[in-house]
Amino acid sequence: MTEEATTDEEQTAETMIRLEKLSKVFPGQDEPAVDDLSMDIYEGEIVVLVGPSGCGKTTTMKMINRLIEPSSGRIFLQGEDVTKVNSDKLRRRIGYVIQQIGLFPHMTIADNIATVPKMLGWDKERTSRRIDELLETVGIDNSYRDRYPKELSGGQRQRIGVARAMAADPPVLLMDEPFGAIDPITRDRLQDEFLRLQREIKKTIVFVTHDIDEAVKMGDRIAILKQQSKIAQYDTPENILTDPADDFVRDFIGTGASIKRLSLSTVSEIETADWPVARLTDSHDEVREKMRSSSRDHVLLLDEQNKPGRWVGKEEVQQDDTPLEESGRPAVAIVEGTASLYKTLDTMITSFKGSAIVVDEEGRYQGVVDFDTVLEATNAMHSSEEGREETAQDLQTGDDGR
Amino acid sequence: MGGFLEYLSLNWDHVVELAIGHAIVVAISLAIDVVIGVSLGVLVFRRERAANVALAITSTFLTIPSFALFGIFIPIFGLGYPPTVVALVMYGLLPILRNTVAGLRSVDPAVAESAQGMGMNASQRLLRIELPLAWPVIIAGVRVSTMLLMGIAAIAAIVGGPGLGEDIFSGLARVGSVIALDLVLGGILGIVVLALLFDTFFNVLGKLTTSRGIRD
Repeated sequence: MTEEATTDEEQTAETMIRLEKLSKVFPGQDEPAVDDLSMDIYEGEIVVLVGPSGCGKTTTMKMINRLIEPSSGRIFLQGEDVTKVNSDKLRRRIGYVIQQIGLFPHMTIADNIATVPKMLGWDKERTSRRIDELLETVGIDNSYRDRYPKELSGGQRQRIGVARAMAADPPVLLMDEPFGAIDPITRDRLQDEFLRLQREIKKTIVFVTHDIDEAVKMGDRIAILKQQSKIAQYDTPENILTDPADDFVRDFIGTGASIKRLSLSTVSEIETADWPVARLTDSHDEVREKMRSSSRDHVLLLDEQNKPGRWVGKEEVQQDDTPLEESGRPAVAIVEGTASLYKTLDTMITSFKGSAIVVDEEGRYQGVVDFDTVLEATNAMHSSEEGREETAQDLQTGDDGR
Repeated sequence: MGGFLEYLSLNWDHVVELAIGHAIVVAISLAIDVVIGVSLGVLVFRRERAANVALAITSTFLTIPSFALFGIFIPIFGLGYPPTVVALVMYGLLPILRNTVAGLRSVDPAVAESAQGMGMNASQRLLRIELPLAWPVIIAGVRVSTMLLMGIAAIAAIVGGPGLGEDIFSGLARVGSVIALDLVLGGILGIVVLALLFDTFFNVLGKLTTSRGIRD
């Protein structure tokens, strides 16, 4: 995206949350926990507040729904000053998800989700329809309606927590380390799911984490906070990783900024390598022919549904008595087109021949990527960054060279 | 033993009548204890010092010898139900108050925070979240109070209170006579049976009124 386009978007996007000179001094403390913080959060974006522990990020988030009352400053929601309105009523307009989820253990899943609709006085039928809808959205079977939280796994509880927060369709969601208490594998899956969900629901989300990798993955924009919630940098993940504002940000990102950037691009954005492909149902001769006509020493065999089946090598395909279904080795290093380059690279490292097979969401073959293609793509990214300022200038003068 | 059974069958109506009186006075006192104990618990559970004071006072009640307490109440409340109920209420308060405070304090802070974060006001949080979650612990306290009051209610006979204490005291007054042992045994047996009935009742009530989600 060019600078010009970004500016345009910012001008058209409506400000959903505006924090104006917000400060919080806890009783009995000399230093403010949050000092004179101002920031704008636009409609439909995920803003991640990230910083070391004790920097005031959670305090900042809790001031938005006034679980913590600010000592001074003002909070605007959809242009309305909500600093002094009834805080219980305000909270019903803002979804809230915390790390421990905090489902009500004595209520069924349905009753948990119905909490806010009930307070808002929805009728039974409307509430019930909404519960069906939300369970489907978060991918929990309807048979769970009458179960209790203790019967759910950690990942399922997390999803119900999100469903409950969205029950009355609030425009804003506040999420305090929502994936913090979940094992790394499930966390990764839930993050992907949530990003997919967000593409549909387009809520305005304020997300708190201490994990820069999570921030880079989840955020449309990231606010890196120093002590007392002082903003060190507030920008897109791309810009923060390529152009850290100061040493604090650089330290906080830590080593491997380039590796982290790989999680911002998906594998579908890069060119696939040229690999010979045949079918499991083809004859040995046909496969040998395909191999001869390419420079590679392996052929990928697909099944009838175009799903990757096996890799066969030069020697293996000579053995006519071994059926193709049993020769070579199974194709296992498979990623979806939506996978990040980071994940793709990770898959490659553990794979045969350092390559990964790209498939669509139905598992059908799309192409093969290997180290060389990823390297080429990342090199291209770096050079485009260098040329970015130039491009921006070109755009301003209306001389669009492309 | 045959003699005791014969005594029981001859005096059945009398024993049942005393047992009903015993049950009523205990039930009234318990009901008052639940109202006072739970309300007090709700008021003090977030305030460390207030909770300690309330618990200290109700513990002190329990240390007063029951015989003496009933005696003191005669000039103030007269005889019969009033001094009995007042004394029993004092004795039954501690277990209910203590368990209410413990139960409310055991509510997961994350659950309380998410309730507040979703816009429940203080009374909605108390009625829909905190008390239902503390309920099994509160019921356990009620059961302890029941056991306590069943025994102490027998002493109420010295202030003319209702209950099986009447037979126990009149039996003890005639030690040596044939009927003495039967009277005392009848009283004790009645109290034990009542205690079991009450306990079963609260056990079943507790199960029926506790959500399946928090039952073990």
